[in-house]
Amino acid sequence: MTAPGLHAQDVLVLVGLAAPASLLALLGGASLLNRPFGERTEGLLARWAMTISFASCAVALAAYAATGATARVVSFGSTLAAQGRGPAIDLLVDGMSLGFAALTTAVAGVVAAFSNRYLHREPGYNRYFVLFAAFVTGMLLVVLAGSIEVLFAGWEILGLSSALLVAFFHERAAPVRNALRVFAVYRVSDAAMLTAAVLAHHFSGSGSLFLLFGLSGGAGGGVLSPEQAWIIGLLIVIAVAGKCALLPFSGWLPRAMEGPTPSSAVYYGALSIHAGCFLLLRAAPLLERSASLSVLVGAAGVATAFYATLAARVQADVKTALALASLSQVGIIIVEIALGLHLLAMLHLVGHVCFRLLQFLSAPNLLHDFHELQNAVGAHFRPTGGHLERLLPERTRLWLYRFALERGYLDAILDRVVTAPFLRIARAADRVDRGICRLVSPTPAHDDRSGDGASRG
Amino acid sequence: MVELPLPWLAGLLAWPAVVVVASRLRLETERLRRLAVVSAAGLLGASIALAFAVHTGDTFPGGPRGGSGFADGAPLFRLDALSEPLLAFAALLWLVTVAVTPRASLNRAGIGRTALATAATLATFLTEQPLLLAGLWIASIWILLAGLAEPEHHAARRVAAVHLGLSAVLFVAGAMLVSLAPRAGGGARSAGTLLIVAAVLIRNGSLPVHSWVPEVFERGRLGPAALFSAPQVGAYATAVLIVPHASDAVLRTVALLALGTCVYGAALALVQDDARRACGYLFLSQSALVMAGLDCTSGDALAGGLCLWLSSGVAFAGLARCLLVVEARRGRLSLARLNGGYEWMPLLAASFLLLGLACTGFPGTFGYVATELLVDGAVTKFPLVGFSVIVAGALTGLAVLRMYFALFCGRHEPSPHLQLVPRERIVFTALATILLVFGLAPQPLVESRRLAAEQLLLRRAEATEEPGPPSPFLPDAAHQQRDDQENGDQPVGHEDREQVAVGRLALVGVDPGRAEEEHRPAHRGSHEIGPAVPQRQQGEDRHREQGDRGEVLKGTSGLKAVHAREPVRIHEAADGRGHHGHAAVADEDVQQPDLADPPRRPLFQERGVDTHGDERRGQ
Repeated sequence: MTAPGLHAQDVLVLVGLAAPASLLALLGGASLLNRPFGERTEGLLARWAMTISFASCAVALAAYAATGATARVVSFGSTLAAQGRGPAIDLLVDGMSLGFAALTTAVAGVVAAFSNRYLHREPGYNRYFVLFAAFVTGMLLVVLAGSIEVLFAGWEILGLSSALLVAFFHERAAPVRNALRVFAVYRVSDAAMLTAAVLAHHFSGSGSLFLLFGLSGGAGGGVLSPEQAWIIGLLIVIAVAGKCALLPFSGWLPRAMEGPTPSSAVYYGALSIHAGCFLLLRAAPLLERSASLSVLVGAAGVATAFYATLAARVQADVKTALALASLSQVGIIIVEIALGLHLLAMLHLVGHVCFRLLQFLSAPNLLHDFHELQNAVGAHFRPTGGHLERLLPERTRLWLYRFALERGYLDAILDRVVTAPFLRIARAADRVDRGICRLVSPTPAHDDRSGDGASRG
Repeated sequence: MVELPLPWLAGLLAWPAVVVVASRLRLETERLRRLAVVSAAGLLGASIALAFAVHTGDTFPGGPRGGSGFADGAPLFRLDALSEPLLAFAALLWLVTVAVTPRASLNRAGIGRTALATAATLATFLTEQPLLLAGLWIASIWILLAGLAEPEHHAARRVAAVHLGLSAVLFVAGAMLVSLAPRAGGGARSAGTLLIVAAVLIRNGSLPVHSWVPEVFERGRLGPAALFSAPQVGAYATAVLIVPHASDAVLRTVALLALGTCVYGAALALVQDDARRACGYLFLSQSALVMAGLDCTSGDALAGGLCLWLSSGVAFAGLARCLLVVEARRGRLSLARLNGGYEWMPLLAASFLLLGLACTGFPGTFGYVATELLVDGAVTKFPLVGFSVIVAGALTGLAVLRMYFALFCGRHEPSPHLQLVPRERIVFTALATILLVFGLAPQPLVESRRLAAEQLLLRRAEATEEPGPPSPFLPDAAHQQRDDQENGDQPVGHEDREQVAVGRLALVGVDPGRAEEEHRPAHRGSHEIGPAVPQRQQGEDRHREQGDRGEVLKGTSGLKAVHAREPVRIHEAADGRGHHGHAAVADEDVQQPDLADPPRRPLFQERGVDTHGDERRGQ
């Protein structure tokens, strides 16, 4: 059935997407013109944009539920308009996308209001809200994507804004170093997603998620052969593993806690870390077609949940502990998806997003809240988690403690297996390049790199 | 292709010529810079006006319509779909160069050289004559070497002179052989093309002759090196001299070298401690990506390469200028530490990041569309190696972010002198805006590049005596123009071109009606999703159609198979399933064409062929 023009529901969705995008254009444009708005104006704009976006998505969701409408693809054509080819700009409007869009904008609205006070008079206030607007736009693109190109665009925007917010306090070296690490893992995830997009086009001639994932209720991935579905499914699982910090990519998550608390809350407590779960729910028909893929996803979820719960128990930093606790729940949600318990996974996801957001946002008051609770109860809380000490022998406990403290040695393994060989080979190649030039021109060049004076351009 | 009348040519070259002359006078440097900025802006306006005039009117106001031949009798200076945006591109690079060059690096001779270099680049983009291109090739190299005359740059100059001198010798020899080809035969053409390929590989810094590029960036002067590199004259030579004439094996080799270079450059950019050297490796990677697109000879890859040429050229030139502006204020910076200063130059930092991300094909920038097309085409041509474009993109993104962090993040003592002056602000804002605007509304530029790609493939088909590339989705201007001339017709309108496109669809066995339905122009709006089975059928239809399209985009090789009467094998190879309806059409109904003079007009008559094919498919 083809209905010409846009429905009222589609318009609402577009408004929901346009509000944060406009905020990004407005704040980013003002920054580019070197005329940033004042703090008061920016805060006001951000709150209004998020309110409008949430209202639009919520009304669209209510209308969708009330009218019992069917899923719709809102198409804006493609890059090569005259040929109807190139990256397709499609949005998929159904209950799932509308529900997650409403959740996203609600969380974003809460965090925007919180950030407005939390970052008061912070030098990077403007930068934070530009990146925050980029994040919400990217997240909504992921949630509403109807084609794999739109999904990829949102995915990349999420990754970049995340890395830049990790490096928000960029006058210190550690946040910058960690941001680069986070971005490196995101690039692996992005590369997997782009590869999936390209292969999807080659296999099916279409980037439509509806066709690729077989979302019409029939056999999943209707346009793909089982082998093709497996390959695309595997690439999507890799992309999800990078973004959700599933094993073996979990090492970046504690490093990402360098950012300001509101951004940690919205990224690693609430939305970004669940973006992969949402994508897996979308691609569930692909998983259903392949038992091996489901097993792989389930195994990654179980391993991640165990790893995260173990590592979370020994962290001294509350944000890191919360992030790892969040990861353990994400692992369980992934297992639920792999088992085909989609409704449970969705409910778990929504509940976890709200609960963890609250925990993250109240993390700066943790000690204060803790004392108030103890005062109210009138006694000290008893320590929990002692069962491990009773059940395990001391040597095992010590080993596990060290393992958890080092977060599974994941970073060390990554450094040894990937980073060090890469650097060794690249630097050797660089030495060869320099050597060739010295052969051609043996006279040592005058080194004009020293000194702080302006060198001749 | 339209011949460029002398008044228009003079009108273009007059802008840099004025600056060259003025640089010989005793003008004060800042005044000369203002003159150069005005001239560059004038040239940019004239280039855009010229492109619009040709694009909309198909001819020059007051100028004759030029010859259509590509070999003998071809005009000395001409303008075609390939060159239309390149003039504005060259003008923009000149404008950026003269507007942003720090005062400390500015001198009259340097401004004169930038104008000369721009004039050479403009002339290069306006001609296809091999010997003239060779002369301009030498001129641009001479201008670069002249910019490295100071003693501290002698080592870099020597390295550049050895490599680029060899490149010039090879190019001149190749151009002479190619020019002699009509008399000396196909052997001379092949040998000449090979020599030109070698020259281009050296100039572009392709593996294994790449080491001079980072050396010149690091130990030479960044400004002249960027102005020499950013227009990617080597890519132009590839497009007009190599793509139409080189054998499949040569193009395949060059494409594979380019794919290797793009990963190599990105990987080495990531480990550099010197910002300039990292910039050099980034350029290697970007120019290799463009070359990979040009040499893949698939419609998508070629269009992607042409888009990336513009996108990465502008982005890279801006990136290099950002670095120069930072260095002008703070000296040479190491990437091994955080240099700080963001607070004093947030616009420069944001521009650096945006320009760098445009190089990596980040969504929202023009590079995204270009990279998507390029990856798609590269993977079509090289199913495994093609993915190296994705690897290169990932590494480039990391390298850019690392450079951004090192150059702008960290602690820095308050230093108001770091702030940008107005002309720098305007230029960097404009560059970022251009990349974002074309990223959000890429259609006009992408379609222009797609048309240029089609024409290049057609030239290749003509030069290799094969039928034209059977791309059914674009009107083929050159094709149509030749038909007009054969029949003495007036230039055809849009409807007639659509007829040609439909005829070509018929030739390759695609149902024009279905293709029109499924590739209807930019379907906008929304539609409800139907039940599972019809949707799946729709998917299968799409899949089948894509198989057709994939095979169509195989271009010349697909049709070569039709001539060779081996359609079934080729169709099976296209998507692993085979479309026997097409095979039967090709095998039984398409007349064996005369390879020496491939027929063009029968395209219309062969619509009937498709009807049979359709009927057979329907049975």
